[in-house]
Amino acid sequence: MGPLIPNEIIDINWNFLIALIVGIGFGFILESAGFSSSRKLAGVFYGYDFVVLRVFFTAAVTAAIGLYYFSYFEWIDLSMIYINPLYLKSNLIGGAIMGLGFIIGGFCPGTGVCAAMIGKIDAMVFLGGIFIGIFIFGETYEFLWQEIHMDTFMGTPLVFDSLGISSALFILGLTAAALIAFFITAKIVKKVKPVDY
Amino acid sequence: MKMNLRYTLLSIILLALAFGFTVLPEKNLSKDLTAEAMLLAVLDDSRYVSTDQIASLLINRDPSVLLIDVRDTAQYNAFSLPGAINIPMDSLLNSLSDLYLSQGIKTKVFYSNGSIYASQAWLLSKRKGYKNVFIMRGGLNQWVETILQPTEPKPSEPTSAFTAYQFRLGASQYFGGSAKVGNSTNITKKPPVIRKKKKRVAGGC
Amino acid sequence: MENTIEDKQRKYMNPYLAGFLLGLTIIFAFYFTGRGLGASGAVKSAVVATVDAVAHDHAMDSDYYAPYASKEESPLRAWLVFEVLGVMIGALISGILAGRLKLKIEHSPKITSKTRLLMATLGGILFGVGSQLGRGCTSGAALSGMATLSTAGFLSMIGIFGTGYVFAYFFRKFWI
Repeated sequence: MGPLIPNEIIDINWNFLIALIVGIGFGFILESAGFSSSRKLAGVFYGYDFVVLRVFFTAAVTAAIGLYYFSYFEWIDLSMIYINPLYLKSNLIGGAIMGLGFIIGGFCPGTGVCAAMIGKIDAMVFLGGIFIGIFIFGETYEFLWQEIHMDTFMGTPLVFDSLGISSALFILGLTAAALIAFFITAKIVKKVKPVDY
Repeated sequence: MKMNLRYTLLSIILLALAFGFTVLPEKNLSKDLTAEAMLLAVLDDSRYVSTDQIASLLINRDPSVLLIDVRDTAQYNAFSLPGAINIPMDSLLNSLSDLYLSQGIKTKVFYSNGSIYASQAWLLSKRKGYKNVFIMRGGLNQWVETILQPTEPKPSEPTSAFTAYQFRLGASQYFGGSAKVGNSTNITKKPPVIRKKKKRVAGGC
Repeated sequence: MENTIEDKQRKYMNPYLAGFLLGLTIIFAFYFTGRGLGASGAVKSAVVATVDAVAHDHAMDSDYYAPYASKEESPLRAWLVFEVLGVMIGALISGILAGRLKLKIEHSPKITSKTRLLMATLGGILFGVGSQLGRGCTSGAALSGMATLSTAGFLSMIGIFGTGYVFAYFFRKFWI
């Protein structure tokens, strides 16, 4: 039963090779979908291109449905996989800072790496910015961030538990929400003036 | 139009897959140990301590042993092993119990009337990562049968059974049981306090 | 003009297919290693490795660097570092196959290249800080977090895209 490496079904030495394979798939898909263009990415905020929403939402729904079927058939033990810890304040504030960074810089770290690899100079500069940003965070951690970084820890809850509904109902709702979002954004993109990029 | 049809079909497939969870029969996925680990643990005999061993440890007043009664408080008050502490199943995971259970040096032995509750307590402790935890095999029922009211082995049984019987006779007197040296009649009456009581286990499987 | 846009679009993979494949990649990652995707973590490893190499004592002094710098092996021997190496290879392969390999600065005609580079740096710095505070970036916190249906993942997603929409109006001239 999966996850194979934490369950010691596959030797830990394979971990880095699998990381590399996963990365190759991830990078190939992001680049192929057009995530290496900042103006294509920014389209999601202005309504001229919703590739981010489409890829992102489809991936999340596919993975969630897949993982829960895997769990149902006992191929994977979901209690052993990494669940992001919930620190309410730092999750939201960190997310907000990233959102601002997204609309200003036009990339997120993963897409920035892809874009830099195919020669986008702005993406290389963006990656340099991330490096500087993390360095600034590290240097000012104790004075500025530590308190808020560790505040309001609430364990590793799952969203359907937080909402007080069953996982099945939540997955169905999420899927429906994604399909509605695809439908509406397809309408929007037809109305918005196309942008040449 | 053709494009729309294709996307509609894909949407229906996705929705059907998502809908599947709501109609699939409920499955009790074990969130405790994995099936493999559970099987290994069940096959592994080393989690058990026999009533003879416990009796011997108690007679020798071994300070490293901590007996834990996982029955409810009423049963514990009515009858318990000497020196045992009471941690009912429903408070097994609270912080006070953690103080006792997390003492890695002490040998912690769970017991209940039979083996079931003690086994459940043991599984939970394993899951919590407590070390050095054991189960008294057969629980208090076994304790009564072997220590308090030992039966004389049949002549055909191996000599080890007789050695054990000799020990049990002594232990029985030590613990105030009903066996008397030289008395070979079987006493089947059990202390009334050790009756199995149906009780829903909180936090169990 | 219309045709060139069409041509470009055709070269990109269908977004729903890409999303489906990405979903499978996430399942693969969780099935094998019990963890999802990520990106900012690799840059963090690079930062920690650099600080550790330049000023080891300083790194050991810091509550932030010490947990990573104090280990025997290099902070670069991390899962996410190898994963991001893979991302680089994968993106390069896709870029070569589609013929998109080209050195350029992409920006709106309304701004200069210099402005774009400045904005990219600023955005990067914000993303660097935000990803550390929020324990992961768009891929690690939001995408993988949503795939496992974690509350934190959904909150990160709302934080990132919600703020993006709030500020989109003020930065519109940089994009359209």
